[in-house]
Amino acid sequence: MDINLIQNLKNQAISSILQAKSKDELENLRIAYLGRSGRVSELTKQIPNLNPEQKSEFGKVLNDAKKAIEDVLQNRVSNIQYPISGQEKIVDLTEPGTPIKIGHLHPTSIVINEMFEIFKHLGFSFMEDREIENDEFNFEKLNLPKDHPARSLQDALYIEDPEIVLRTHTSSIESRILSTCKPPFRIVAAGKCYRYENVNASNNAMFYQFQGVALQKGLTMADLKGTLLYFVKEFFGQERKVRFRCKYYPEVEPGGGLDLDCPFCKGKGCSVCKGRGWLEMLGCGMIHPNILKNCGHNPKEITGFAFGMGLDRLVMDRFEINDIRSLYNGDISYQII
Amino acid sequence: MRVPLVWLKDYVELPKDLSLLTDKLTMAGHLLDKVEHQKENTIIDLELRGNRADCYSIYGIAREVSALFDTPVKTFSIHPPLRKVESLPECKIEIKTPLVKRFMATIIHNVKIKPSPEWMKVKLEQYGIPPINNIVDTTNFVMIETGEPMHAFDLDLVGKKMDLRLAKKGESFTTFEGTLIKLTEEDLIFVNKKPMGLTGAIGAKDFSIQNNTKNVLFEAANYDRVNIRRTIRRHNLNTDAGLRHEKELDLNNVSIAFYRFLQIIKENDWGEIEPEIFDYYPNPVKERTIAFDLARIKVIGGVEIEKKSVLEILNRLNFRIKKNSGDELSIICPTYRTDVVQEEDLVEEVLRIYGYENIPPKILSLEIPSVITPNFVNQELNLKNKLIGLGFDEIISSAFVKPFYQKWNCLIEESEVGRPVLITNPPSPEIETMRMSLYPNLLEFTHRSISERVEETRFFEIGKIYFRRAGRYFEKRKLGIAFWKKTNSEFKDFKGFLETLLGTDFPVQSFKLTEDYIYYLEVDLDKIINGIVQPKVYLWPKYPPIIEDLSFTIPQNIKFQKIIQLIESTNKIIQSIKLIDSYENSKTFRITYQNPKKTLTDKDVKKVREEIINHLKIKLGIKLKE
Repeated sequence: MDINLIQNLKNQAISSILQAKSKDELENLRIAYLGRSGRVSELTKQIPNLNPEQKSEFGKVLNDAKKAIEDVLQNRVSNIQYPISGQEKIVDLTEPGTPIKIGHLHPTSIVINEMFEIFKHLGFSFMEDREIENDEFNFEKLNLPKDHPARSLQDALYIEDPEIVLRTHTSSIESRILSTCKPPFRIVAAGKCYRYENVNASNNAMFYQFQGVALQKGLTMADLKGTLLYFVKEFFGQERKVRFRCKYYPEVEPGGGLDLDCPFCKGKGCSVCKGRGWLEMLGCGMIHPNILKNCGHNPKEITGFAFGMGLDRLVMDRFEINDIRSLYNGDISYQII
Repeated sequence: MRVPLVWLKDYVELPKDLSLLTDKLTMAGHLLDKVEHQKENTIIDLELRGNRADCYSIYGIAREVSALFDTPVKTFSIHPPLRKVESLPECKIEIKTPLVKRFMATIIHNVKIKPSPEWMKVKLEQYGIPPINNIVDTTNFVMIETGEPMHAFDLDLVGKKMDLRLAKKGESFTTFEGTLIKLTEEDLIFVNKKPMGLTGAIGAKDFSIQNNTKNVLFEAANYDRVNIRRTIRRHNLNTDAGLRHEKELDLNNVSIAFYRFLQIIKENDWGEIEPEIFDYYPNPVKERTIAFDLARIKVIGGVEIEKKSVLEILNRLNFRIKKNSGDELSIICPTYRTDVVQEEDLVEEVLRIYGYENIPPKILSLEIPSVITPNFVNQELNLKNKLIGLGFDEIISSAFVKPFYQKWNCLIEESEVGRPVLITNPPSPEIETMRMSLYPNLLEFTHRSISERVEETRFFEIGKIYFRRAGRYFEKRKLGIAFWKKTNSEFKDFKGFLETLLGTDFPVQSFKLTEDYIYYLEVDLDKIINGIVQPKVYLWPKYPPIIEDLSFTIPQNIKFQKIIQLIESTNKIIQSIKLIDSYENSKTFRITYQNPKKTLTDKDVKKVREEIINHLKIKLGIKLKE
């Protein structure tokens, strides 16, 4: 007996099954090939007439072929599209599916990830550092000596030792990295900061900031401006208008601020932007020469820039949350994110 | 600061278009907060820079407008200088502390107290100070005009002597607004027999100008600004004088303002000015000279500005050029620019007048530095993604624990010993105790969800815990996972998630079982993250497996884990062991044998099977059920 005979039978059967257009047609094919007196059975009946060696080989091949035909047939039967006959089960495709739970990232994480992705394209790394910080790294090194007026704007939360604070801004990460890392580098960081605040819908004693620091010979305000414009357009949309203006921060010289056109009034002035037409987005500038010196760099030889912004406001705008406390107190119902 | 335009235009020509004015001021560092229209008057409210003490005055803003629009600034008239004496004959002033940097005073006799003229009233009202009488109003007017605070006393109430010194314990006075101020030993005061006011902040009612005042002691001064700032904050005194004195004012402006005041008195014939003045000024301030390398503008600003334009900008800002050779300049700064102390400050001055909008944006054309993101950042992200895939929602909770949940605020890892970090100046009891575990807040959030009638909660938080031990502070990154199900809650469900997430072999500190059947796990992130290996890829094996089920009778007290380990260690061809049935002490295991290199025969499997049965019997006393 010829093995090819079996292969041909298999190929013929499979191609007919694949071309079949209805369930009836498939049923007829099943009877013709796999039925009690079908063509596969006929071949099986010939096995006892073979010699032992052939028996085993022929049996195996025939069995494989039978299995293959069955599989294809089964597959077609369950998938075929056909006019529904009275006996078929009617499925209402508009009924809801079985619920499958998927988790959600916290809105703040979503925003941080998105921002980090953008800065990654510009060669920035991601950094973290301690939240329990000392006065030196949170203030002194950052050109904020004791009794600097800016300190009174950032009332710290103190913990027992007067030299230890919960960091009041992510700039402490700046003084850490400037003191420990060899240039060139570009980093962004996001994290919790703490201040003595009377808690209300727009102020929280714990909040998130986002910080960027770059230190490299040749960096200028033009790089800072380009970096921030790229970020703002990627994050908020290409159509948004941006204003890059002079602003004072003790940590930078020259200092700058970046404003974005108010999305609610399109720059005409409304209650959200207090009639300004602009929303303050972030503070930035070239790292102050005193900070570079404090952290062991020569300001005549290397330049760097830094920027910082509050994150919670961005998150609140993105997810239409109007109370900062809702972000971290369990108010978020993840059912609807 | 509120800037009435009617006042500002006394000193400088203003552009016709208001927004042109406010836009330029904003771009140059003085943000327009809002515009207020009062009838035909316009007041612009500017958010001034904290380091520009000179701008807390209408004249200072006029100088900025002049520099921005390149228009001349008109000066105001001042009284000719008067003769300085060691001591005023009618009132001996003694300065008893180095906190006073300059103190000028004189006496005006036979003052005519009356309402101020209309022009002065209008300006003060638009600025936001209610007019009182001509003398008080003039001190306020000159303060707003020049930025230098000043004060007028009733000389007859003061008497023959006035000291400036730090207050003594127990001293106090009542302000003209009627507030009692209890002084501390750090407050700098005017005093004769009694305190007459806090210098630099507010005067006492008992010594101020009255309707029947005849003779005036008038002073303008400069004090240690740190001391003033502390005093203001201590006593919560947000006065116009304090707002200015806490900044770095120009000591030379004291005399300008002083003589400006006298000029207004003289012009209006409001009193007879004594020809002698007291001027305590131990360390006169001189103009600062700064070396300015023009190449720094390009290096810092990233923009090429012609030397001609730079010189013109500096001139518009009243910076004088002392030396001018090539790119090397030497600049003399006017003393009112107390904020300009080094080259970088001059770079900013040039850039802000040149216009930040004219700096070309450049996207980091320099060489890209190497990536220094620590490994754990990406690993943490992967872990979060896995958890989300398992249906867990990410929580970010407060770093503090509310009083009610503090009973659960303990360190979970056995090796960690410490006590919670406590805030010494907590704004509220909820922001006082830092978390030593992520558990209290996850528990709170779970309770909250349960009360919202959800069927099931799956929460995780990746965050820091904080503790103090032996005077040192520690922060550790933890992963906390909380699971609760309303019906058919079983520990096995929770453990299933953990095994998918962390594998069967993770360092568990503790499983917590609460009365609500909220399951919780907390692990040290640094520990598990180091253990997480790169994902592997497996291909389907080429040779078929042999699968068989074996049932055993298991004596009590034998842990499941032990049986599995024993079976696994029997032979390498055992691919997997699954518990498929369990009834009382009888358990059925499905064992998969597979050899990646060949097809297994019954003989191969028989040998291994016998080994398994033998091992279990000898080592654990487990018998095969026939």
